[in-house]
Amino acid sequence: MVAGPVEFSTFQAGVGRAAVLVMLAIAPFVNNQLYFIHVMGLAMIAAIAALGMQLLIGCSGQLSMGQAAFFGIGAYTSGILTKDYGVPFPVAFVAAGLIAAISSLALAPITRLRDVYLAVATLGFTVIVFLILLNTEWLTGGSFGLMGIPRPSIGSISLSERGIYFLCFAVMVLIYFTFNRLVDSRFGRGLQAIMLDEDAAWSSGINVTLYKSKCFVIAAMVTGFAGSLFAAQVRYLNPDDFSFWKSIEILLMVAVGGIGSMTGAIVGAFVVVLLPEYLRAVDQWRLVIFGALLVLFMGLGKGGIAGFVSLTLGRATTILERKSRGLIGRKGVSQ
Amino acid sequence: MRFDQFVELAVGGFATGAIYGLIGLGFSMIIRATGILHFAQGEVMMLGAMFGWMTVTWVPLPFVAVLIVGMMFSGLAASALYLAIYRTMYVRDVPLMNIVIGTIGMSILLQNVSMLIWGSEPLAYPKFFAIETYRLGPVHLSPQLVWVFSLGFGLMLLLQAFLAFTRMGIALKASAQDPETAQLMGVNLTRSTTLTFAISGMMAGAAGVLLGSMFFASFNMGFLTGIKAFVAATLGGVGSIGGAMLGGVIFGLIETFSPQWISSGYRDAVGMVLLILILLVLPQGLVGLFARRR
Amino acid sequence: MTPVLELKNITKRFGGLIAVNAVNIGVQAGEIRGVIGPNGAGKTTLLNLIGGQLSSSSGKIVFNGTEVCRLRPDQRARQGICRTYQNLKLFREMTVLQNVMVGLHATTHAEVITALLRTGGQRREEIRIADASRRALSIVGLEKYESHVAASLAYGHRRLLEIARAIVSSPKLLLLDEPAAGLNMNEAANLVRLIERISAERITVVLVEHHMDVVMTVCEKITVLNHGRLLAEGSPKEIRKHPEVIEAYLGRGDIHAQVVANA
Repeated sequence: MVAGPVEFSTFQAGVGRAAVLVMLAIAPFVNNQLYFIHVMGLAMIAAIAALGMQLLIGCSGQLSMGQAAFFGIGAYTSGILTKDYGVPFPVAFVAAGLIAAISSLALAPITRLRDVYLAVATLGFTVIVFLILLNTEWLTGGSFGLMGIPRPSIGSISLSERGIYFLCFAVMVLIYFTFNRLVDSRFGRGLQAIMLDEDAAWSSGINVTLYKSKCFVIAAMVTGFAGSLFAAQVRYLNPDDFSFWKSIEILLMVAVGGIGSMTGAIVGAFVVVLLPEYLRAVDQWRLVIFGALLVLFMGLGKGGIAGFVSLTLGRATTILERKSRGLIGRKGVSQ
Repeated sequence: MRFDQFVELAVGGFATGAIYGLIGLGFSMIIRATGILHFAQGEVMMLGAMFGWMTVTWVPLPFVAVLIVGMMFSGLAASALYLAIYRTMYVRDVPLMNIVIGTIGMSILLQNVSMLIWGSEPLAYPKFFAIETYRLGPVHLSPQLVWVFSLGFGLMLLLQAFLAFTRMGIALKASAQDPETAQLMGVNLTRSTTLTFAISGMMAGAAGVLLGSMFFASFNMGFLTGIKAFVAATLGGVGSIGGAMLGGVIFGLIETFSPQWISSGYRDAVGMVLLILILLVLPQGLVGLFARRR
Repeated sequence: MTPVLELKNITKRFGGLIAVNAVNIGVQAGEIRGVIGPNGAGKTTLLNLIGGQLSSSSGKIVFNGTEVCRLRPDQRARQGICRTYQNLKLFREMTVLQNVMVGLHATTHAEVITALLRTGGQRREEIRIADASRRALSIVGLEKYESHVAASLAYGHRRLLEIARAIVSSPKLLLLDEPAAGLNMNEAANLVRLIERISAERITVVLVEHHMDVVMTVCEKITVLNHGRLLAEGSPKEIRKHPEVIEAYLGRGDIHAQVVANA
């Protein structure tokens, strides 16, 4: 079982990834149904949140159950700014990420907590944020929700459903490649070291707490961005969307996709968002299936779908292994 | 606040505290024995409440009997969880983190299966206790709260006695403190861990029946209460049963009196803030604080 | 000459137990210092105090003129104090080369932004890191194994790997915690030569060891601890004949005592 960031080293895997991206890019043209485009957009938003979670749990070993809070903070920030203050979307988007990042600093001391205690503390944070969203009616609309969030617009033309889709697509792809690059670096090496042996990481000169905190803030910011996109996509926010259930859903995405794999995070997000669509008939069983999936995947090791595929291909290695085996320091480090 | 109001609220706080304590000590026992944070502990409590409700709906039994039945069922359920699932994961050498996430999955699973079985409507327990309040001078005490509090603490004290004075109990404590040595001494680890889960399950089940009789039983009663019970256990000191009792009482009182200072919408937040503070400032809990002073 | 490492009245208490008791040690730059003593003498605790894994209950540790007592382990690494561990703390699932590369975190700087931007500086640094790591691997003799996964290495090689990781940043002080544990005679002889090579690179070495052959051969000066106190200090020759040292080992029925006396 591989610990730390996993990616597929084969040429086939690279082609596979490119193929998936191309398919996602043309999907809204192939299937014109608004609903389909809408759901795919939601899947990509979820994927962004899952990527952030992967950075936490798969790359720095932090089981944070607090991502829903940052998702909510980002969503409401963006929603309120665009709706009540007419702020243009790009600014609201950035603000969402920044405010989420700043609020994560409030939790900074938490990063020195051990695994499960970190999980519970972040869960508690999610509950607190949820309650704040619920009780500050003057700001968020409370349980009535925040309605009428405008679509992002360029000038006077507001984005269509397809436009939003590509916006989400662009952000997802950008963050995906950014994270891969981040992990494939000295910083990423440090993260993997932390996951493998914290003490040795400390004595090798790594400020473990600082690294973990950085991951925490980056993950919060990215999830805030996802929240902003969410607000623009669904145009109505309700605190119920940002309870601890959402945190668990995000955890599920990473667990299903494979802890440690950025690609897996995206795959897992799509599975978790799209599966209920195809299981409409058994909707009441949805959460039962999710619970069972979680137990099942955890019982099978960290691999998840990504792990399973890699076992089949037989060639998964950590990104860092690839780099050291191949082309360190020379041009052309492949991705 | 008048004196009688204070006492009445305090009794309510103690009753709530007993419930948190019963569930919380389960957290402590399991963490101490296995390192697993059993996220599904709240659901075990819920199962106790459900089984208790089913029992009393079929067969009108006195309260204590219902309590015992509920405890038996939830004890069995918890042992089953361990033997069928957690132990299987453990044997497959899966990292601890995975098992913990697995308990999260179990929590979701149990909640939703319960919803499918028993529906999403809350289920009311029959009235066991007299409506008339006991009177102690100006103070009116609700019999229900008094019973909950007495039974709850009674059970916890019984447990303490069991652990301290019976062979099984001592073996249990030993294997929690030092599994390897205990094994060398002939303690069957699987059996003692199963027993640990069974006992924590029984205590949680008792809490479920008590809570159910106070309010009602519903599929989602376990989640938030479970987290709060964890707060209580952490406050007292994770791994210490006496600590869970102490933490339960203190937290129960804090929660009961908190509406005096903050708006009721934020009542659940009190526990969460407390949790974060304790984890950061006093991770060993109150028991750890006293131990250090010595 | 001022010692490069000074332990001034260092004490470490664990509750009621005093593991290290008012120890005073001065190590000169470039020295190879051995720390020996019967089991439970406080040797590893002492190493942990120098490395920063433990903080002292009282006393001062001065390294290169700077007081390091308040520094975290990563800060001490940046000051030039690196170490290995008795029970090996390798990054098991990384390759051999990657393990050593992590050792350079103490002296390199690229963080998040530079990683993302892939600046020229970052790329050059990565090349330097790889080159330095390969050099460290060749010093310990593991260059052929660079792309092997660390966990797949033989035990003796894993010990060497941890040393490579500790020396790659050219530290000023190297702490070795029982580096010869579990090594056969050949490997132990190899280790002695390696330590001498390291010392030739002007790295001060402090090693805790039970393996008397290694200690007596490679160390210039030996500090003996017993029950947390400094028992004796001197050259290998002096320590070998030191009556209290022999008694400390013999009195506990320690087989090391025989070895000490006969070494």
